[in-house]
Amino acid sequence: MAKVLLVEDDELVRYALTELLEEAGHQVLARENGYKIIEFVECNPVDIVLTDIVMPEVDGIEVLTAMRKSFPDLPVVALSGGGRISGADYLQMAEVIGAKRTIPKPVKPDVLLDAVAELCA
Amino acid sequence: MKQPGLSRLEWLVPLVIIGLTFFAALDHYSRAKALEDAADQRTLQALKTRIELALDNRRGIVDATADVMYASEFVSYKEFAQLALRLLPRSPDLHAIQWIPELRFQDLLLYREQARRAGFHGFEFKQLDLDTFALKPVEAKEGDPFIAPIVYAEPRHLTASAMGFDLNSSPARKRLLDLAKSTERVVISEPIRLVEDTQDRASFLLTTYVNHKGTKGWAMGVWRVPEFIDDALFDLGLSNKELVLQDITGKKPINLYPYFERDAVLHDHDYSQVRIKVMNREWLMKLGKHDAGSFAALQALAIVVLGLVLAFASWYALRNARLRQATESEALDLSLQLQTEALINEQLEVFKGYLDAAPISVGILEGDRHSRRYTYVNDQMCETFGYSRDQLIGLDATLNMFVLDEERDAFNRLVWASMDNDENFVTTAQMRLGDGSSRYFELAGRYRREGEKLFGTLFYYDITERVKYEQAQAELLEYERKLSQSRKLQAMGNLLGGMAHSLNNQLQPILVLLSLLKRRHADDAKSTEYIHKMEDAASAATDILQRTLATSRSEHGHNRAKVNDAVPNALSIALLGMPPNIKVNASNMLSSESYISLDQVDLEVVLLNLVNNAKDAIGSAQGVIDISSYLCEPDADRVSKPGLAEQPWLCLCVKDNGMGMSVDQLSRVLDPFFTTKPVGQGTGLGLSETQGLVSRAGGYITINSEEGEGAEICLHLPLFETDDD
Repeated sequence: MAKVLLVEDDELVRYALTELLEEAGHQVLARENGYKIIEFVECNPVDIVLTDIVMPEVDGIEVLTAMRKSFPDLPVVALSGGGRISGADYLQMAEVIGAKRTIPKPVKPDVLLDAVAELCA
Repeated sequence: MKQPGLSRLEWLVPLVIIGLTFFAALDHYSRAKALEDAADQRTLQALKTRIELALDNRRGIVDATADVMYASEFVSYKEFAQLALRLLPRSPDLHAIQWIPELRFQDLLLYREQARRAGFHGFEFKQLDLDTFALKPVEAKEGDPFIAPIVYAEPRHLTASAMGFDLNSSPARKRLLDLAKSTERVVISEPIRLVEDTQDRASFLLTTYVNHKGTKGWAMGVWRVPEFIDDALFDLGLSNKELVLQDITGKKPINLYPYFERDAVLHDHDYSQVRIKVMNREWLMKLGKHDAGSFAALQALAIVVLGLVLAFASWYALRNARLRQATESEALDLSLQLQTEALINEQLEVFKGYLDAAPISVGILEGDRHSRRYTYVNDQMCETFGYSRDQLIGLDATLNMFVLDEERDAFNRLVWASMDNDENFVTTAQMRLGDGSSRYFELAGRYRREGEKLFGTLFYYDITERVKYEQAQAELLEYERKLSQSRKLQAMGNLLGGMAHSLNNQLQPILVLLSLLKRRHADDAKSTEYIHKMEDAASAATDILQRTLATSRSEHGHNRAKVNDAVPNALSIALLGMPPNIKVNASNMLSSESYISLDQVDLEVVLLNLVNNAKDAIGSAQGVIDISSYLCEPDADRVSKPGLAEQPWLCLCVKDNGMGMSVDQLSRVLDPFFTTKPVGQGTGLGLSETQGLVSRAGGYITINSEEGEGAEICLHLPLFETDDD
């Protein structure tokens, strides 16, 4: 049973992943983007963060940077539907910046659940 | 108007005169020669008779040799030998008598052989050895020159019976003989008159005493001088002291001393001319054989010369007559012709004036297929090609001094084809100018044929500026093509990437919710089957998207590019369209054959991003962008993959003196979508995109900037020895 922070701008994805995680017995907190994410986590401690990369306002790279600075032990999983810009591989960037796991979208339910279980164990 | 009669006569008459003259000369020569020969025969006969008489009367050696010598001008060697052979047995005091008119090796052999056969062993040709002054047998070789025409005899004793007179009767002559005996050298006497000489002519006595290997005796010769010297010698009553004999055969005169007291060398060499000085008078004496028939030949020659003069005179007179007639009859035509020519020349000058004013080089050529020379060139041609008119006119155009070597064959083929087909030729060619530079010309011309002759007019239009402009345009087009290609690839990648991102996001809820749905309907087999099918479809869609993305990435590939190729190419594209207010300095570039793990297109994107940022940071101010590359050490903390730190690293830096960045901006500059530019002036993806590409290449980016102080962004990239990934 883990407390999961899901940062995802797409409502449908957010809904589906929340459903999946909750069905698996996890507690899910969801945010539309990385805006004031540190303050949020300070108020709502979580076990793991799942973040999309490409988001308006504050994107996943910023989330990762901020997390590494403020909560270096908190595992962050980066999810991305692929680079929107030619040649740039955001998942690779995320890994360099400090994501514990990077998973391309669409992620298979079992893969995501296994990753959460593994990182929170 | 032609005068056929006169012009024919003009040649005919002189030719007839020359022909007749030659016949007359030939005829005269043969007659005169016959007469001379007959006279010679008669003289010879008379001489022979005299010699016979002399022999019969035993008049002595001097007289005999004098006659023999005189005869030698007329007799053949054979006749002389016969005379000598008959003379000797009758003069018991003589060793030998010798005549050496023109001795050659073959003659020597002949006479020796004849003498031996006749049993006369004293007969020998001898010559004076200049080293020992001894008389030695002639050692003539094949091809030796002739020896002086001298006759001498060798008496056993200088008795009156041998000589024909008493040598010792004169004290002077006695001294001469004593001198000759004591020195054994040749001496020459004063002019003497031989008692037997009925014509009272002067002679010189040449004497030497021979004492050679036990043989003792006298050698003595007589040298007759021509009659005109006789007068000087006797009529003036001169002694030998006033006589100077000088051999002037060679360039350097040799004095032949006629004094008793002095030695004289006679057989010095084959003298053929002797200068004789008596007091203030001087004679030149030519020694040599009388040339029979020479006078006849001279006369014949005179006739021929006369004939030629006559022929020339008649030709000249006839020609003048014809010319005068022609001149008179054609005077009218000529004046008309001159007027016409003047008019033509005037118009030609006007025409040339127009050509000189033309802004195109014009050359007029004349010649044949193998050689054509400029007969006219206009001012523009002189100016363009950098030669003076004098240098060009008369110049053989087929030497192709203008056409470059590599274009020569093609050019010649074109010109020849134009000649053969009587067609215009137009071509463009790079041509060499007088100052060694070259320019491009459009060449148009045509050759007109008149018999074997060719007349050509060539126009050379300088199209160098146009060619240069076209080349620059083509270059620009090529750059634009490359740029737009790389832009297109970039755009396509963006499009595909964006599409994939959106679709992947949409597939996510489908996959997740299907899995949840499946669990809820696990007891309903039909629902489970439907959900499975939908999951399969969603998975297939996912695969399709992944493949598409992979394809779009491989469009620009993940290949490596060589620094020396990729960096200059990428720079050339990145620097296109640089506004004039910005100066670019890219002189410090590393030359390297190593590879970076970015392909050409990616490097173009990266450099374009950096240069665009720098350009935008400078804005409309005066600015400088410095681009440099060098080998550098990597920052170990930032090397993403192990092992790369050991590689050599390349730093590629773009530095501007624009507005720079604040600390806050600097911390966020690599974030995607971060921009300092107003909305609509940039995506904010430039540096993060660059970051992505560079990190994929195993490298990283460093940024140094201060607000208002410009910025320097450096790409740090590992270098590889090969282009294998």
